[in-house]
Amino acid sequence: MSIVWRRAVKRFGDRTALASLDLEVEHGEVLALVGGSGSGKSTALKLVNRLLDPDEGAVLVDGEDVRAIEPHALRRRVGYVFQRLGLFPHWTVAENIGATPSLLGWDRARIDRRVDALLARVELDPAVVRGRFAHELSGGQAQRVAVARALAAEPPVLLLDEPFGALDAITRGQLQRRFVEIHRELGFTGVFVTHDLGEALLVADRVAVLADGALVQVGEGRELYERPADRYVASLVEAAIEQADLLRSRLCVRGESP
Amino acid sequence: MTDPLLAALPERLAAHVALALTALAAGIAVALPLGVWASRRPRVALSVGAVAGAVQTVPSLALLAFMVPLLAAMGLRAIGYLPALLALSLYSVLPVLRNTVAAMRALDPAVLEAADGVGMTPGQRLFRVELPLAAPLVVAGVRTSVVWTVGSATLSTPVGATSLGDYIFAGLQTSNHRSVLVGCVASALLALALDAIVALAERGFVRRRRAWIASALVALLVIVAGASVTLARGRRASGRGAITIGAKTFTEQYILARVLSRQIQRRAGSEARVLDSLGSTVAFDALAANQIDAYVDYTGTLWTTILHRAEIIRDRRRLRDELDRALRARYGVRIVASLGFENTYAIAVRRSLATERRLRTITDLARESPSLSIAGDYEIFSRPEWRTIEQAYAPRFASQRSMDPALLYDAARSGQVDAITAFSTDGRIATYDLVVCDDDRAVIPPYDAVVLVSARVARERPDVVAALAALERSIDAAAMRAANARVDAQHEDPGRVAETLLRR
Repeated sequence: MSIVWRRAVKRFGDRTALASLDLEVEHGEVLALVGGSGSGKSTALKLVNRLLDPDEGAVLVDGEDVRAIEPHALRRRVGYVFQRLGLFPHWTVAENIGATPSLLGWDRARIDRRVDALLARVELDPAVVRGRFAHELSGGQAQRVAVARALAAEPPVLLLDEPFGALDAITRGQLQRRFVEIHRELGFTGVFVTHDLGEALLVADRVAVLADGALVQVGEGRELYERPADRYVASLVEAAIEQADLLRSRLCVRGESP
Repeated sequence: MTDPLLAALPERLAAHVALALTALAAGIAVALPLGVWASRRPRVALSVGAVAGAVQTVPSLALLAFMVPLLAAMGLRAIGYLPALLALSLYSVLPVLRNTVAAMRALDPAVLEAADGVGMTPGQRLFRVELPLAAPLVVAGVRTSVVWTVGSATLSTPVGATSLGDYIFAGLQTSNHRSVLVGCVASALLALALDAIVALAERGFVRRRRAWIASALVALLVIVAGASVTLARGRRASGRGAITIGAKTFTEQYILARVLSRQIQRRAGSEARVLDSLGSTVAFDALAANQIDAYVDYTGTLWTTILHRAEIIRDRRRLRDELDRALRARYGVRIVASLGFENTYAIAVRRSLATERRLRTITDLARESPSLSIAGDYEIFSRPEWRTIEQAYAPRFASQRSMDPALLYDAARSGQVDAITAFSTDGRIATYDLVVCDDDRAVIPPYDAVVLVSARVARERPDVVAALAALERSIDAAAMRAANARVDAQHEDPGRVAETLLRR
């Protein structure tokens, strides 16, 4: 399922959060939206599942204008993970993951099987965490549950809004790798919002850089490195590389090669 | 049960439960949707909160009393169950409303975004996520409402609704502490029981124990069923065609209402029941609206507070005739008998104080007033009679306060106040060795006790009118004072004392 932003504009009062975005995610591809705060990347994402509606232009999913679809019906086909998770505190892990399937009217047994399969997929032991509540989970476990919940109804589209931003470096690394594997297994079309170009390069097929509500450049990592569209893109790439170099030089003193 | 006090308990308790629970149900039914709606509109939430808060600051007794003329003006049944229900419902709204708004606004925005994100419709979001998460705080508001409403329901007695308050009001008036205790303890136990039931349901919701919720529901159903059965049985017993006699909130009225009801039973062969402890003007309003059939009032009171007439007529015969004419013309209400005594406002002081300061008349009292304190019942200082006294004698009391009429005489005897406004037939004037100051300028109008009947009874029940008319001049002031003393000082049952008054 493809996603297309066609001259999409979103304003909040006087401020233009998104100025005429033209962008496309191909079927089965993961596109990263990268930019600083206020760049419009989260706004662009929320136009896809109608948490926001554009003031001008349109967003198409699988060729259909999303505004022609009831929000709740649309969202049952579009998985959504965001940084603050929003696990339902009065529901168990199993009930959280089963949220969308139960809204779709799946039977109990099918939901149970699906929950167990998803917990295994995000590397949690169903026997241990199924009956737990959100406050009984670690940050990493909660984030895995949130990903599982978004995938529960086998959505063809998955939206992620800085999903791993609040995690420690090790857990984040594990989850980034796991995400790539899951994508390879399931093949959904994904949009992954992050402010971290390094993360974007790890999880996405292509990267779109936004600044001040406008698209600056879109392409694979190598294109951004070799032909940056402007100084901002160049400095983003440089910063990521410098960071890696700096780490290497700090860790590999006395000239040994890593 | 032979104890007349406890014999009335099932009916009063049942009526109290029915009143409080219905009011709570209505209050919650309004507050919950209103709270949810208001929580999404900050400006609405603010003004709704302000209005509900303003209702709450109105003393509950005043709110209850206010319902009577309000309902009467709308042409609805103005005394009894309806005004009490309305006032209590209004009262029960605020805690639930306030907590609902607070709970809904305190919900984690991330959780709400997630609810949208997984594909819930607004209704599913409300019932599956928002309300369950708001529930503990909302239920806390319900518990506050339960305790308030059950407690405030005791105040519905003066508007004519049966409740446990009947024990408290009658007990306070007749210094029957056992009666007050029965009313307070029963009402407190009821509040605690209902609170415990709601608490059990709440914990059941939070810990997701179906059994707890079910037990709470069963307990509630048992209470409701018990109350309904008791009320239904009582209603069947009272039957149709029964006459209702009103009584205001003091001993003499309790006795006289029973004199009237027994007279009707005996002479007209008709069932008659007594509605005790009505507010002073509630009684007349109820009579004018045909919601009670008869009661005893006093000519001076009718003249000033019902007809709002300022001039003072000292001729008893003329006053009664003019009253009868005016009440009949305006309300269809008729005076059918003068009982034969007067219960006038009087100012009384301790005998020792009267001797020491040489207080024989109100003129004497006014002279000494700057060093004296006075206390009166709730009404007197705002009544025209008091203005007349002020104009004629110009007293300047060092302090002036209102208290429950039942406490006035004790306060005077024990020296906590120097002068009190008293009723001339009150048995305690003699019992407590108080002295009445003479109205030497004769400004206090006559207060002859008269029997009033409603327009409906005057028109349709000549047998009742004849029975009551036969009470003409049957009770003199000495007999009334003695009867009052037997109830107030010796705690005899008003019904039994009424019996002896009739037998004389």
